[in-house]
Amino acid sequence: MEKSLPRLRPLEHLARWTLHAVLDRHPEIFDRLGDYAACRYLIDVKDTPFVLLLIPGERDIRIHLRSKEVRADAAIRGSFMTLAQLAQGGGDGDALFFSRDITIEGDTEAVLALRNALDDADLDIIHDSFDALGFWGSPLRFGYRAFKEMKPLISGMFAP
Amino acid sequence: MKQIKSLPELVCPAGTPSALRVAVDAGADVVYCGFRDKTNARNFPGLNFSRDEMADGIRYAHTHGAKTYIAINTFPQAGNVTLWKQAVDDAASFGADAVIVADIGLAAYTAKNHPHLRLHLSVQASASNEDAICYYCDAFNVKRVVLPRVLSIPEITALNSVIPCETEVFAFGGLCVMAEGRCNLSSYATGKSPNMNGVCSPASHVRYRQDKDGAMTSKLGEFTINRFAKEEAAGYPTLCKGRFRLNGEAGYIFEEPTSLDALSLLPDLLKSGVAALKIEGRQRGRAYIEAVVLAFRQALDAYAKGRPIKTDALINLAEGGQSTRRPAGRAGPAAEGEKRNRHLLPRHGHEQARGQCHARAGGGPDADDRGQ
Repeated sequence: MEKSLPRLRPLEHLARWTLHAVLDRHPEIFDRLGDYAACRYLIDVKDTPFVLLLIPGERDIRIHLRSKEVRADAAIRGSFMTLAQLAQGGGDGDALFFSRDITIEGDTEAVLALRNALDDADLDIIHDSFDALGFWGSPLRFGYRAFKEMKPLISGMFAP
Repeated sequence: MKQIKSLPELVCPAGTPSALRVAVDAGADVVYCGFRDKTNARNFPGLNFSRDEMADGIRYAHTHGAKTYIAINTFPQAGNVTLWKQAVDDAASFGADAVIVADIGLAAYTAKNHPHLRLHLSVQASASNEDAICYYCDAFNVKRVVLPRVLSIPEITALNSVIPCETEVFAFGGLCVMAEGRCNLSSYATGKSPNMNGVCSPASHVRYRQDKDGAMTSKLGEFTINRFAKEEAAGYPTLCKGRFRLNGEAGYIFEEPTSLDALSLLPDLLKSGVAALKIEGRQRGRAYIEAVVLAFRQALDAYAKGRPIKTDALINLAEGGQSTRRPAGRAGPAAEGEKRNRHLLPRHGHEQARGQCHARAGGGPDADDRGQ
């Protein structure tokens, strides 16, 4: 098993905690994957120095530097916002593929299965994470909602 | 000719229960979907409905005033018809509003064993003339036929005046110039076909390679289908949309990556007497379904109120970044699609030139699509 660099461990713990928070609320997500749950998915967040390795069957996610060679069955590449949008069903995977905003390599069927499983799950990663924090999630949710509502106002204040 | 007395049904795809709910909430009159096996022509991994999910989905649709049609539109294999018959039986027991079948034997089974279950003829049956459609109506009490996309609007209008059943036509989605239900390109390349296995260009046989210069190469089985330059809009890896070298020139021999978009043709389509407009794309995500259903619902409502139809809402969802849409008021070739799409059929002049789908209503050549 590949080990991530010690300095990536905090980030990896956060990613793993988020994955488990989502899975706790949507335990059925990976049922749709069938045999593809055993696949290793490389998620390459192109605007960061990292890649994520998602192993659904192990309910695990790992983080590596992009420069490191990581063994995977399939790879999905895109910007952070594009991949986050895709994970939450906010973007159409085919359209993002047509526009070249995402690229895929390796086992195409495995990628398709993951896309379909996530699309059906109706995820909201941020709110699932807040829920997992229990009592402490409430002020964070309030802050997040306030930030979203204030964002256009703040943007407008600094607009040219 | 039949005159439309009310707006046609908006028949929308759903590949997952979540997509079904999105379609219903966005304004679909009907959602069509399939069981998670090879009885339907969108048998992709992670897609489709278990028996429990189908029963729940039908309940959800009915609760919200929508209908559910179940596509059982592949062809049963010799000695293995049980799976298909069971699918029809289950659809009936779950309270589906109709089943969409392609196989003549399955149509007979449905008519005999479930006479009260509404029977629709899938586009996969490729019934595109009066005699064929009337036969299905007479023999199996078919209530609606999904017309192949190789028909023009005048042909659809003519058919509607002589056949005893309703017609449903595709209004948005992928394009294909092949005779549906009879295409063997995918089978030739991979051993699997949409007709028998429910998969065109099965993902298990598709590979993409990202090259260092930013280009992307797509392969289907042993065949290189296309090579897209950096930032060039991509298409599906189907042989019919492959870019090949012919007489020393690389280009699209059959068809370019393009989507059908009939928003600008709605007034002509509605006057043709169709009973339902179908959106292709059970393999697409919730975002696609929501966007397309909303656009068509708004377009139909605008038409009913005599307002202009907004026709440019969906280009971002189109395969290859181009569609058959044409600007409002223009009766020529398509807009986004025209830049590379027009030349195809006149130049190669094959049989499908008659098709050029509903988009031909205005007289200009256009393209066609596939699948449900």
